[in-house]
Amino acid sequence: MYKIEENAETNFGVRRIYMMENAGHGLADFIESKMGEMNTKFIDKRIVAVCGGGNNGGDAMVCMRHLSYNPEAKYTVLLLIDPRDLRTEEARTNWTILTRLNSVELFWSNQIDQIKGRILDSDILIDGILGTGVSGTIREPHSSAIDLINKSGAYIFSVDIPSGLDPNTGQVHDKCVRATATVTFHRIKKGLLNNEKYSGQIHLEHIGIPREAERGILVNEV
Amino acid sequence: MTEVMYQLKVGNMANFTYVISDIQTHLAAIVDPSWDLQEIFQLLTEKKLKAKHIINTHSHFDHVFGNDEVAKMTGATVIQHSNSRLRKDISVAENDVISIGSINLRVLHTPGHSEDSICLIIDKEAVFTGDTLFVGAVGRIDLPGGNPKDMYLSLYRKVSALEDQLTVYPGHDYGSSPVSTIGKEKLSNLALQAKSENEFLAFMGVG
Repeated sequence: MYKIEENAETNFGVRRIYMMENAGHGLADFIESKMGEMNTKFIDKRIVAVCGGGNNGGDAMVCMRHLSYNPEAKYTVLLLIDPRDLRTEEARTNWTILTRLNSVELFWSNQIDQIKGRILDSDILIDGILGTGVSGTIREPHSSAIDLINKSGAYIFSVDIPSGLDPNTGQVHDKCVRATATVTFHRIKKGLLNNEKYSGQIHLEHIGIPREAERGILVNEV
Repeated sequence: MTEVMYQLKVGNMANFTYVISDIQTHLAAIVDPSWDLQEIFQLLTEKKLKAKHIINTHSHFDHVFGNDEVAKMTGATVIQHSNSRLRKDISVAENDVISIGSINLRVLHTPGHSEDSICLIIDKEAVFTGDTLFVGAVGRIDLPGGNPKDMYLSLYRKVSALEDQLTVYPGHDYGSSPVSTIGKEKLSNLALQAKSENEFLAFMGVG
């Protein structure tokens, strides 16, 4: 997937920040439609996006900005690292936008006791912790955050792939978010199909990567 | 990344007051409070901020005359460079770090416009340049305490050595836009194009 994105950016001029905007917007639309289906309203809902330091977290931040058009809910972005350590330009940009808004509360900590209450008290969780680059043992506080998400009883929407799931094999190497639904981008990762008990309902969202950008990239190299 | 900055244009000399607030703790620093203090108080109330420090980029009256009232109303401590002769609670010098929650402001001593001029740097993000550097211009060197040679060293050795990406927040709205970046100023600010100290002094009319 990384290679496809890179190809889309360098050879087609589709900038990653656009892809992130489309991803986050698509996710927000899906959550809204899902809430309609479930007959759930935004009023008084506590919506929390749990974000890691990569682009998965950035997608979730964009999603929160779009969701916050519904003023009846309470929105919190919970970042598991110091914002100054956000790894990508796109995630940093979207964090900075959120710092200027009043409608989304921002909180960051790597201390489990400080994030615990916010995750367990939520009605809707967006899982933007880990993306398709995951391998091996998950470190703290990400590991505990995954446990807390699974314990929360909230509706859980995973960004691209449930945190902890191997996108190619569907294997869980350590632990994994059990999502109500997963909104995956550009194309359905193989691992999602192999392990639906973690992904929940799978929804595919196109994020502006042209089909032509896939040329020359082997399918098993996503 | 952990802060929100508010730029307030105040008074009839196009001054900028800044409020820098830490998102998590709601602590704030007020840079150069003067003129329309009501705007500052309104902002603090509206955003539920607690002013911890007042910081002056230098001691000229148009940057400091709100100090006493803001300090009285908020309990904030007044911070200035040690060369300032005005009343202050804390003196700072080159490379001192002022913390407001998770925000660190590093002090760069940049004399030239005045003896106690400082710039405040948020690493990788921003620099508050007071009257040392404006958008498209630099501060006057003919006022009491001004020193052309010091200004040359401050601008060419210190400010120009900062990272290009830093957003420049100047002390007055004198330029084509209220903010800029170090990179843009190095390219386009006429006062930063001199090849030598003499050329700079000639440009400033004191060569």
